[in-house]
Amino acid sequence: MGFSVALSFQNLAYCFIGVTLGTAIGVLPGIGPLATISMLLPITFYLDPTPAIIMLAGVYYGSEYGGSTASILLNLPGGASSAVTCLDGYPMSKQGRAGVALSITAIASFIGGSLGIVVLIALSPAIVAVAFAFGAAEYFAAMVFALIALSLMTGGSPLKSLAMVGVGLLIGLVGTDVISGANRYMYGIPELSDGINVAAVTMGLFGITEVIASIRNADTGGAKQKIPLRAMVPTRDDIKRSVWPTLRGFGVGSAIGPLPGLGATVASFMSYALEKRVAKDPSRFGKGAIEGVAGPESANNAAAQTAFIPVLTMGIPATASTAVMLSALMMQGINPGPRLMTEHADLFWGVIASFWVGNVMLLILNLPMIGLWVRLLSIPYRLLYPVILVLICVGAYSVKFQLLDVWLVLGIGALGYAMRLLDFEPTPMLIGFILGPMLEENFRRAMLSAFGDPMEILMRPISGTLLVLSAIMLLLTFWTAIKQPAVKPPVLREE
Amino acid sequence: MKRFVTAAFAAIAVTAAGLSGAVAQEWPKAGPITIIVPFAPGAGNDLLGRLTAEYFTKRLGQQVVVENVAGGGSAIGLDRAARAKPDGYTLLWSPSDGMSVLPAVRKSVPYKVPDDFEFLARIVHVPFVVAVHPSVPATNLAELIALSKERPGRVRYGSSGVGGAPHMGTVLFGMRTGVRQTHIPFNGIGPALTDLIGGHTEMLWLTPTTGAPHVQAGKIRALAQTGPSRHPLYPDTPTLKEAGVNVELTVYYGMMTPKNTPAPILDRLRTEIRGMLEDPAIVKRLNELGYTPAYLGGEDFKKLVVDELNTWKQVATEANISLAD
Repeated sequence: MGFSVALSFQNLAYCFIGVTLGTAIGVLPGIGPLATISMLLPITFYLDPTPAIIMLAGVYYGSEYGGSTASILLNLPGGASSAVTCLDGYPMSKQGRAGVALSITAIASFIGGSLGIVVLIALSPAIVAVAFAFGAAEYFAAMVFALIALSLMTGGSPLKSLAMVGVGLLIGLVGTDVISGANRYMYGIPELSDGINVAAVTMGLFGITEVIASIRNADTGGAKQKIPLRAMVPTRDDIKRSVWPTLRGFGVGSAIGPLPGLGATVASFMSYALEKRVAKDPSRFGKGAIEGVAGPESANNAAAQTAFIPVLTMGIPATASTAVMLSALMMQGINPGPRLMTEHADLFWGVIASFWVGNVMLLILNLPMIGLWVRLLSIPYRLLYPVILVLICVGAYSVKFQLLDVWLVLGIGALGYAMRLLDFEPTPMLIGFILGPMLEENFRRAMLSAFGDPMEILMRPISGTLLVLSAIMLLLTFWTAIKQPAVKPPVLREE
Repeated sequence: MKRFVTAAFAAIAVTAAGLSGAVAQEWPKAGPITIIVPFAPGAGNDLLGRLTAEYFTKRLGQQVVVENVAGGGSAIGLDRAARAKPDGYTLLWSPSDGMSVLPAVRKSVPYKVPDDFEFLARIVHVPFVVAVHPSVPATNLAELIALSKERPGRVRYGSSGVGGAPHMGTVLFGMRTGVRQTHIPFNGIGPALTDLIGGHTEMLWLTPTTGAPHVQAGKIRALAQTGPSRHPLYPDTPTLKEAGVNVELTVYYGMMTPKNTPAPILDRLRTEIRGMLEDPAIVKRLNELGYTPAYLGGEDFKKLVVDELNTWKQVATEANISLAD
């Protein structure tokens, strides 16, 4: 039933436009799906509701495919959810295995996305029930769990990681406090009232930093290496190593995607942390471990699909992008809600079927592009990087059309470069920045809801369990730290 | 190439002519008109702003575009409009939030109401629906008030944000009924509604269209509505006044221009707004989105804005709400 809708010529065309645009903006650093969907919104007023949503949704999940391309090739994530792919994708690229990383990314993305759709169809009611069971206390506990799981994710010194989580947290505090309405750390700049946006922090920390760091060898080609064909095709070993991470990543992504506010970014980080924890040899991570690419990529695509569960079944947006999509429906006189499935069955199933069609399109679109992307690496940096800088600035500006964001990106980039010189990891800072404010907000909300009784948070089944698990995890980490000698900082091998 | 250069020169010439002619030309011929919408794309305000822009474009023979200037609970967009040139090429779309509520609850806002603006007209207004979680043992407003009195402070209500109209409305409701409830603020109506459906809060004031699908599905229960009369989506839900509570609250949505915009331009725009609200296609659209057309022009609109501002100032003082900068 849904496929007959999804496979009509018009809907196929809009799906193709959506996923192609999504891939393109995913690849370009900076211009994220939210800005793109917002720009496309006025166009959809002149379309039927079904193709309108098919196109906007295509942009949304399509951007998760493209986002990792620049992460792998140039250490420039297209968005926050592909930042974690830099950790192992970029080292792979430096080892001349960019093609392998990109192929595995495309395949893992497809598997994660497709299985995510299966979850969307099969488990929607159950997942919605779980999502509603999450109140502030549960969110707080989930954040604690995530923060502990992620805190020691990257190599290097645990103390430095912790310091960076703290810095990220402080940057995350800027803006109007949701609970009290007070303005914090704004210094009278009203543009900061909604906080510093994630895109600015991601692009600054990873993108600008990488550009500054590369100035010294700007004359050389990106990686003036001959890339033989076999470097494009994953070896049997690569594939074997990627199977389980891809499946686990899908599990993590599907679990986190439907929870409003968490989304693909947290899913990709959690998946990476999980892979590192279950790996036989965690020290391989950060030096080009394929698992560190396959897991997160599968996770962020699964999350991008399952984020539609609350949107389609309840009319409640999980992310800013899905909120804009819902308004496209409202503009058409369709009020999204629990009865969308029955009242507009064609639209509901048509859109879901189009997700799968879109994922197939993305796979077909992305695999042949890999050769082209890898060739991009032979462009000398001195030509490539100015273009990238311009793109980053345009992207930063396009989020809210305010110049302040461009300065912020550059400022955070400078901070990132200083951090790199001093050997501080950017990833913990990004984690602190994303999770910190949510943790604080939900803790205070949980305390309000519990009338100031902290025991209430512990006594609730879901939050209690999560907090106990967090405590166990923390103890295990200490235990292994005591038993094992300290982790040596990774020694850079001459390639 | 040669053709391209010629075309480019022609374009430059035309633009230059346009710029020099702008001073002499009758409004609105000098260039596109911008409607500032002080919210992100996709919100209700944005949709209304775009509907209006579309209608104006047809009527004025000039491109009218929406510019989203989001942030600060609409303060940034209002500030931008207050400081724009009063030449009729910058208009503002604003709900009561930024005009009548924000200046009452924040210690300072960067613009002055009503001094910085000319008031074109109120275009639509919308009431709130007082909704509770189905597990709350109250099937009407009287029972909810009794329950709140029985357990002071134990009834929790969500809101779309501190100092927003739904939050302040609930505070006013508490004052007039003498009940004390606990406020749980959220960032936006989406998460607040999720929390209510999940049963983590007991009560929420929300707009008719946002609530309707969930009321119909039995996920939440509507006990009252805050408008002067019953909203078409809720024919069986009494207004607060019908239920014996002396509170009437609608959020107005209207248009303003920077102070000192010439009177002929204001008159023309008011005529167009009136025409828009008589256009059956537009009225149908507005009703679908849950808004009730309610034209109120010039001085009357200004009086409404100022009256509401004073009401909220009083409520904020009494409830001791003052948001720090």
